Amino acid sequence: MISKENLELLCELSKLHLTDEEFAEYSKEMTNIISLMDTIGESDFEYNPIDTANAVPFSELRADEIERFDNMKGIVDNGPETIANQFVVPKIVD
Amino acid sequence: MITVSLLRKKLDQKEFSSVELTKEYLKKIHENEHLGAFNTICEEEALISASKADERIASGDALPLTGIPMAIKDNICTKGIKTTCSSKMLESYAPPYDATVMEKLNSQNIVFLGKTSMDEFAMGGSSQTSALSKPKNPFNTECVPGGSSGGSATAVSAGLCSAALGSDTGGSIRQPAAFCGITGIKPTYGTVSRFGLVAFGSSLDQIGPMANSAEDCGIILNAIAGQDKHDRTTRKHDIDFLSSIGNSIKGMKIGLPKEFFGDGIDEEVKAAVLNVAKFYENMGAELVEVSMPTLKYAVSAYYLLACAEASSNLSRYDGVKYGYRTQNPESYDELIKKTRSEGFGTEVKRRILLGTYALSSGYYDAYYKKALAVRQQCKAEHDEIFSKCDLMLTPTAPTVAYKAGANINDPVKMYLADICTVTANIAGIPAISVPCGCDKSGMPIGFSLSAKRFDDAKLIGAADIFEKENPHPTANI
Amino acid sequence: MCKKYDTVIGLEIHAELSTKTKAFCTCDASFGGDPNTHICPVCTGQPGALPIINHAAVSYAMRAGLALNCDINRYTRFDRKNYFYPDLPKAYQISQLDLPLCVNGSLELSTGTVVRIHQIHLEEDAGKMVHDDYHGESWADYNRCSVPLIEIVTEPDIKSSEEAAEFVSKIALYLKYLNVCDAKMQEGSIRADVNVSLKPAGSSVLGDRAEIKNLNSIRSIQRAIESEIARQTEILEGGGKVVQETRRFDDATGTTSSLRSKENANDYRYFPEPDILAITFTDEDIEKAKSEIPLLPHQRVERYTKEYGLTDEDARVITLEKYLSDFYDQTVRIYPQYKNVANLFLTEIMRRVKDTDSEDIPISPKDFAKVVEMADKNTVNRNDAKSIIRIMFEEGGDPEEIAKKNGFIVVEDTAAIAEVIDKLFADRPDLIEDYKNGKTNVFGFFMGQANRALTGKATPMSIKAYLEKKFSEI
Repeated sequence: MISKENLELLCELSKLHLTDEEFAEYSKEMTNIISLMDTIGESDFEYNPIDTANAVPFSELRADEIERFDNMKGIVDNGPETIANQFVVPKIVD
Repeated sequence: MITVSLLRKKLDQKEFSSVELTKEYLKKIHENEHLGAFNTICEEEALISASKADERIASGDALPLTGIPMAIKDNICTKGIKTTCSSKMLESYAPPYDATVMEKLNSQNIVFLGKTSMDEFAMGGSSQTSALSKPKNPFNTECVPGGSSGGSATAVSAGLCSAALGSDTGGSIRQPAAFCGITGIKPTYGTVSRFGLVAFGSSLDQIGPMANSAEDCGIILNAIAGQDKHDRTTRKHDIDFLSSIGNSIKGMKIGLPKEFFGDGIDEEVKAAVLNVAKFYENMGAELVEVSMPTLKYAVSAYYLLACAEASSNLSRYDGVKYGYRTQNPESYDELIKKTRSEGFGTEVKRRILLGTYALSSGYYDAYYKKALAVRQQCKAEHDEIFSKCDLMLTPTAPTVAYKAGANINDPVKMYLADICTVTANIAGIPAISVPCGCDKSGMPIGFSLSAKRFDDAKLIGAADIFEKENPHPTANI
Repeated sequence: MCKKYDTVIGLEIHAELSTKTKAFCTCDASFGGDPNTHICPVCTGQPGALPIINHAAVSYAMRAGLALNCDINRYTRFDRKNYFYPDLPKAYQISQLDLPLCVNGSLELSTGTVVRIHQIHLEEDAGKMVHDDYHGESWADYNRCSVPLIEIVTEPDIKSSEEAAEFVSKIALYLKYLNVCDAKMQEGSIRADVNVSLKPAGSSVLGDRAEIKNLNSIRSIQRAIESEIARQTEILEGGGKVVQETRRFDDATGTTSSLRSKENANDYRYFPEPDILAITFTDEDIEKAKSEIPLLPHQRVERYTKEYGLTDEDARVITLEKYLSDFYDQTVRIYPQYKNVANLFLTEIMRRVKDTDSEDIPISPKDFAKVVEMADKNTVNRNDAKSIIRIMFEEGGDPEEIAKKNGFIVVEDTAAIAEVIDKLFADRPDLIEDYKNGKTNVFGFFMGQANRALTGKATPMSIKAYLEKKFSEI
């Protein structure tokens, strides 16, 4: 069973707002989903963070050479709200 | 069956032009709009590329895909052409760049017909989570085409294009291919560039072809695969995906993992796949029983990994840079919360919440890290299996295509239905789904072959042998 | 008075690396540019874009680590740090958590304190926000997004605000000497987060700490720590408890204040970055990186004193700024008169550039070497050499041309010397008489007169020699 506080925290962390109705529905579903996920708890494998087969040698990394993107306008044009070639959001206050 | 290889011959022999062919496909697309395969149809662009392709064919330097009309899943970026992921969030998004696979296809002068519908952000196995067009199964329009690459499967199966690209994170190419009676391959992780594929689960996602034959899949893979400087997870390789076509299967060992033939697999599906085993045995292959004990953790491990990565990958949709943005937010916090709540559908939110849960403080070790451990074990098991056999044979899905509306509100049931496909993504190995007849209701059944990493050509060769003797079922449309 | 509390300080220093391209894409990483003109799909977080790590960024970070006595992890991995902020287009920062590039380093301060470095990791910078109060808007510019940063994380070994200031200055100087960072605080290329806590004097139990974020000058680091020590002392004195939290420093009031609790409750959900493969290093890679480490300031001081014979004081002054030390090095490479170069450099070059923000010296080491050489060879006299440097600073130009144009070149016109001095002798027989009677100080009078009459035609040395000859003949 996922607690109300836990689901509220997940919503805050993932920046999702749920209506009361949705909250109740997700609460139920998440509980079922998490109990499916819990089957993994029965496994006892150890994770090894070092996986050299999936690594790249330092010498093969990208060279430090500038290559300008040719469609910066296309990026800014997608902005839902822009001004002076910048992306606008409501004022940030810390 | 109109395959790419057949079209190639006819185009080169000038039986018809690419423009004529393209017009034919566009006509068919319009006649079958009720199938809902496409989110965007690129009629004008298609005809322009077709006439360019005709010039190239005339000048004698046609490449294997020159002038071939194809459809592209709507999560692959196409410069200046909407790439929506079937989400309200990206409904109006026109990427500023082309995916690497698009650049490669365009360099061959393909005819790009349009963008096919899918489950929202590739999250689903029915294409019913799409916020835009909801594709239907050409074999029975009341049934789903599978997902997430359902639009591509529908389009190929109904003959609305000669072939299509899909993407596969946990079965999203293979399962809809099986549901719609076509062939689809998820290549080895790292063979095809993901640059420009809108990310779902980055360590699992691969782009692959969906087509009317295994050979067509090989032709397309030859065009799109290769190491890419824009995707560091691609590997250097020089696979010729057609190299095993025509090779005999005599003496090859085909493993049947017993866990894939247990309860929960429809009896008709089981029988059809075991018939395939018999076919290969008759062709001289040796059948061996193998075992994959981690299968019982596979669905959980898959959902934890894919959703954890997705929760991070989908955080960028905040209404600031592109896509949907809520009206008149009071604050930045309200801007992102309302944008995300209004822009994402139910299933996407479920998976974001699950992924956030798996990564959050206090749960990381029990869920995410445990899933990483299962993944390592699953890879080791695959290494073990492929030391004993060349190929592994399994069903592609536990059932045939089901009615639209079923399962959608039972996420757990929906997730469990991915059991047959997720291990290939977890282990990064190649897997192909090939049709093997229909069930009593007339819905197609698919079987899957998988092999060790970078043995993709072997899969295509073995699938081709089966297809030569067992033609794909065709939908009556 | 006995101190009641010990101060315990740990630092996290963020330094932007001066690579040509960004950490994860090929965009221009240089400072400036109109808003959103150094951007691409990768650094603006377009759907489908993937990061490609820059060799130079890893190489620079490794060089910094080696110079700060770190071990290099032979297998290093990147992680995603997830949080929402409009200057962070992907909503995660690519950083390193479990397997950072460099670990276990140290740096010694002049107080004798050895500050241990826990780790140095590579990460990417965020964009820039401009706030429009009138419309209640903030504007995002992504030019700085994905510029490579290193984060240097110390153990809590620093004991005072002065030590903290010295540590940061020293790190900044080192990074400059290593050619890995411009270390321009006004451009935000070095920033620091400071952890401060107090504990009863002599106790080994750490107190609760406050973290002050985003300090961007040595002065504000020092002031923030001092104000935080005062605040925490007052709390502890009053029997209160310091709250573990993130605070910010206000330069105008000189005090720290708490950031919203939401910031404090952040859960970054770090996990391995699936788009970037882990990197492995060979012994050769590390040896090569070691060989690329240039001389650090203290090593240059040693060379200046031991090999060049400069005083310790002079050597230290020259090495205070890398560009000055580089200029000195380049000059002596052309004209290896170490002390003479140092003397004119300390008086004439350093005094002209030390109060400017710019690191440009308007004259070249080659021209400067020429001036020192001319003075050494008496081609010009020492005062005129200084004038040449002044003119080069003010108007530019070639040192020899300037000397000629201004009549600084000393010529030895022996005929003129004889003519002038013979005439002086003829004009003042009275003084010659005085000399004969033992008044030898008349020599000075003749020397002065001759010098004045022969400016630009002869050196004092030849005038003196001729005079001495004349007097000996009397």
